[in-house]
Amino acid sequence: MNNKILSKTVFYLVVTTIVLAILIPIFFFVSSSFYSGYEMYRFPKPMFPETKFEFKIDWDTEYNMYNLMIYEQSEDAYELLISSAKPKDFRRYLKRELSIVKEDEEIEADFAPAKDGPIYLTYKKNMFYNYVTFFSITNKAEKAIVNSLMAAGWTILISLTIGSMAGYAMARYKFKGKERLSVSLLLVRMFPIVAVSIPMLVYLIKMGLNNTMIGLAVVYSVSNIALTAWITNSIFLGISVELEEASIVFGANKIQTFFKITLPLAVPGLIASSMYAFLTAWNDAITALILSGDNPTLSLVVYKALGSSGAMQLAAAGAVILFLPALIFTFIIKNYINQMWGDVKF
Amino acid sequence: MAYLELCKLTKRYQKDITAVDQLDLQINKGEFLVLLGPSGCGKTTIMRMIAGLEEVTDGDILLEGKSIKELSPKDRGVSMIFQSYAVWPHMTVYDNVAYALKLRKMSKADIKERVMKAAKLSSIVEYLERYPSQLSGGQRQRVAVARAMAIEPILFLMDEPLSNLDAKLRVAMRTDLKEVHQKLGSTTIFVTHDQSEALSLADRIVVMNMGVMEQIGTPNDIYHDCETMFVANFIGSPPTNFIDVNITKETDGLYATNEMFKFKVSESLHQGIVNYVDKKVVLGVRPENFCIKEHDERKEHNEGSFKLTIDNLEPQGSHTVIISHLLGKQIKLVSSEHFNLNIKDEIDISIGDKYFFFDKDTERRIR
Repeated sequence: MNNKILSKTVFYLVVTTIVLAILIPIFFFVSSSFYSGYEMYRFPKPMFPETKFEFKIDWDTEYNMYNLMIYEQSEDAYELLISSAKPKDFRRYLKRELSIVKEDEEIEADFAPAKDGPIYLTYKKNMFYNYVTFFSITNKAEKAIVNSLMAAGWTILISLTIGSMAGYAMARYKFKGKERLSVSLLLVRMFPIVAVSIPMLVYLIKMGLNNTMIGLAVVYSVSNIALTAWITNSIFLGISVELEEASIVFGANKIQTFFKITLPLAVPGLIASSMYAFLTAWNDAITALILSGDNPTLSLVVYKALGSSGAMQLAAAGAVILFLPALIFTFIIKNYINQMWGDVKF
Repeated sequence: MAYLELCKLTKRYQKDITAVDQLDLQINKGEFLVLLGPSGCGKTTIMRMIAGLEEVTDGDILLEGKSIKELSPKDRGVSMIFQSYAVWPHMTVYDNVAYALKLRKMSKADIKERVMKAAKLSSIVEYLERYPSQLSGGQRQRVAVARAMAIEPILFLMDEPLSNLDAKLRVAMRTDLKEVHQKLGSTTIFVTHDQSEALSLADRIVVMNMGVMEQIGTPNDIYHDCETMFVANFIGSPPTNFIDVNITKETDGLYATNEMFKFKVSESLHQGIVNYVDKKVVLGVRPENFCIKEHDERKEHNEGSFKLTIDNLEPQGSHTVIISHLLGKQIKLVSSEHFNLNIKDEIDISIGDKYFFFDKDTERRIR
């Protein structure tokens, strides 16, 4: 009895640790993607991004300037941010550091009463400022999303077509060297794809496929075909030969049998195995950097944004853009994952 | 003329493995023929060759005198019931039954009529809209039967269709299959390794062993008139007892003798056995064909009778299986009269009038 409680406790502790280890970074960058620059570098960082800021503005008669002060909750005091006479300076500052988008005239009209004594203002934050900015400063971002989708699509198409044919052959036919073939397929997977990338670049340049998504997909498929072949092999093994034979006895030819019986039964498993192809293509940045540096994929753009700009919140927005499609894709196919290992049930 | 004829049908795998060896078989129209044999005897291969799932290595298959060997499965007009049912899990019961009819490009109304007819015969009408996963094993088997009936086949092939069902359901489905056969009057070939299935269903049984036909005959012939030692051993539970005997000639006739007993061979068997005088042959006696008397020390033994010690008893309700030994070999007897026996008891045994002699080398019956 005590043993049971202990083992359960340990189990849940381990599970909780794993879940937290995964969820905390996700929470951190999702939350970061909504921070303004001011929040990003404040200490302690707020757990959730602010939606609005409270300001105090007064008029410095000595220098003839407005003083912009922000309310700091932790100290219950106003902190001076910037002093200037020109609304233009405030517009720039509000936008860049606080994600507040205002026109010069608006700011001038709002601030003017401060000349008669301090005023208090609340400005709403533009929550999606980082996302909009990510697309405007990284000028290739839209193209990169299309590129990533294309690379992933091509990878799925190539590795599923070739891989599932290999898997079907291994499941249904006897041929010489079958065991060796299936093991050597896995050996291919042991090569780090980065190591293959340099010689591949030479090939792709010769074929004129460098900086194209098809070229990139071909390289991604190298390692994925093997995995797809293994997965589809077990899917097809899970489909009883008698189901196909019954179709033939009852008047179908081999092609009709494949499309009416085998394929519909294999589709859930095939969809599940396409996840691997998708994730390989979608997540990779290094191979894309080597093979398609001038025509980047989204993950490469995000990777570069992380490295170059000082604005972490923009990189975080890029990371969310990168991670959402993968998350959605995985959620759509999660019901099929059990069927990936030949467990065909309806 | 036979309806379906197999002529020297042969199947070899990879040149050296012979699954079916020069099989000749004639099947009459409307007959229920059972192929019976242990696993690996080639019975399923024969069926698959008739269905067109397996290529014929040698020989021919004639249907109403015309060879169907080269026809593709869909042109043969046969239908098959598989061991695993093989109902397609991604289709409703209706679509399963209608599949073959749709492939034959029949009109929707005709398809519906045929499906309903088959569904009624196999009593699955209320399940037509369901998927196979929502059905029990027995119901799935009925779907397979309905699917096979719907195409109104010229030949029904059934490949161990009952072996995946539990014991009770198996017996019930057995009766149902026989009823369907009687209603449709279709020619049926049924493969099984279960002798009680074979004996209860068949018009004629073909006993197969190692790709060769051992015997063909009615269930009664197969049981009571075994052609080979294999058949005598394979059919019957417990199987036939085999005892080595010598044939000796004495003035008043032929005797079968060994260390334990001696009895006079019935006159009707003389014609064959006379060639075996002073040779060893195998005596085959079915467990129920021994005459059993409880041993009484005071009485003299009857002529030809001998003593056996009971090693074990297996009461079966309607009868008791008596396990004993004779000349170092286990023998099994069945008695439906003597129920007050105990282990270690001695009983008086004599060979009744039903027994077979087999040649020791060829293992064939001596007639």
